[in-house]
Amino acid sequence: MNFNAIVSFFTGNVEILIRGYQIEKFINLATSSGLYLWDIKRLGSEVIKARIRTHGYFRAREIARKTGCNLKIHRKYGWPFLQKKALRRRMFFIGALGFLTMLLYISSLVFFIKIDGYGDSQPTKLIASLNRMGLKPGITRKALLERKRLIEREVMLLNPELVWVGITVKGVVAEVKVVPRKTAPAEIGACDIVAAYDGVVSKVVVIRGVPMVKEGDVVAKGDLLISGTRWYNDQQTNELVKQEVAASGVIEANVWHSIEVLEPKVIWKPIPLQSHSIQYKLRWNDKLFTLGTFGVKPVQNYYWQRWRKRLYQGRNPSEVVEFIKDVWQEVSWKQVKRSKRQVQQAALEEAFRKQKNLKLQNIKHHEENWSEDGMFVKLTLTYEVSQDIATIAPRERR
Amino acid sequence: MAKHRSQSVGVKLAQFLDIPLDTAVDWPRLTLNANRNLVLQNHRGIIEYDQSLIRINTKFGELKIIGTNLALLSALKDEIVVEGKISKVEMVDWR
Repeated sequence: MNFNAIVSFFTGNVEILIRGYQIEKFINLATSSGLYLWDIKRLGSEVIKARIRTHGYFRAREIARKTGCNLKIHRKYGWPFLQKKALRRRMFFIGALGFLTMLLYISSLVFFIKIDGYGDSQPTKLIASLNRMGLKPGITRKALLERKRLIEREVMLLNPELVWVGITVKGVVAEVKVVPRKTAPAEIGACDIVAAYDGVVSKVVVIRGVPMVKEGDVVAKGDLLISGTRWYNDQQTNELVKQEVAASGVIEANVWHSIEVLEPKVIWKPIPLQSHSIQYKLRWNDKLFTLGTFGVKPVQNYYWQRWRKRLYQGRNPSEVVEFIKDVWQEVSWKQVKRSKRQVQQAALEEAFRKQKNLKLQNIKHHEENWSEDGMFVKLTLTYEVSQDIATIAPRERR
Repeated sequence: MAKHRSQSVGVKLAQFLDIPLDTAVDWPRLTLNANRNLVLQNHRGIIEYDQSLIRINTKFGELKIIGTNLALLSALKDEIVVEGKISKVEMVDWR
């Protein structure tokens, strides 16, 4: 239908009024002779309204004569009828033409450059080399596609850390996909392995170096576990030779981690009162626009809550647009004495939260120790964990 | 009678060869979009057109469309689009 509307606009079409007793016959003859009728509506018992393309009007008139109908043009539509009017308003059409030209030109430009595959580091050097090769916002798509291969090759030469560079153009966005070169990790110099925690050694596996501990030994944090200095007897010179190596291995030990939590028996609880204030804001990057404030903001004894909803995250994630709702609720503080069970529950929850942060693995068993300290309840949780305590200690630091 | 037989042979052949019937034979095809729009392909002319009733001739018989504010959105040689609030579609004397 849209295609028909476009064609009908350019060829011109007329709205006709058909009067007669054999209107259906007229429609049938017109359609069977290849005429296209649309928007057919009955206006009265003997009158219908329809639209027809201009070039079909004369044929429709012949058909109307055959069927005994009366045909009358009601309204004219399309470019052929607008043409005369248009020629009288020259500046308007020059403006429209200028606008169309500008629109076509602007849509042929590249406005955004998206870099993909560079990882977390800032691609400043890559952007500079792309700019140097002419790929920057404002370049035309045609110019970019013509120089695509050259830009890809030159950018790879300018950035030896890249293995592959590919440029694709999607609308007004130029996507630069890069594959960074993978380099082997730098070789570690001579070093010792020391204990990261206090514990009892349960397993010793030495890959390189001389073991300084055995299973069952008690070690403190910083104690030497595997030495990177090796002495051996040179068979040719028969001299004692010192060799420095990068010590490596796994030293597993039973380590004890303890978590302490102090939980008050009496707490202050906020009781919401009637007075509260709500403020709606719109944030665009670092600019904050207040949209509306309802209620009076309490001066003292209140708690503040912020609710935020990210509205738009376009091509550039640093462009933050978010909707913020701030609530200031007036409260009265009430002293609440908690039962022993409530205090213990709160202490255990806090302890497990802390334990999650420690990320302990292979927990063998744990011990709970409760004590009272005035208005507080103290919980000490001790975890026995089997873990690798080996850590590298470079020679320079020791 | 002979025409009728040849048609049924054509249909049987299309079924045997697994060809979709709508592409092989010129049977009237009716598409109803909710109760607002009706597309009829392979029709044989309009018998009656009114705002509350449209009667269209097809190869198999007459199709009666009853409703309110009925209008012919487009009329072509082999396709008619009816628009309006359709309440009833009736196939009158279909063989």
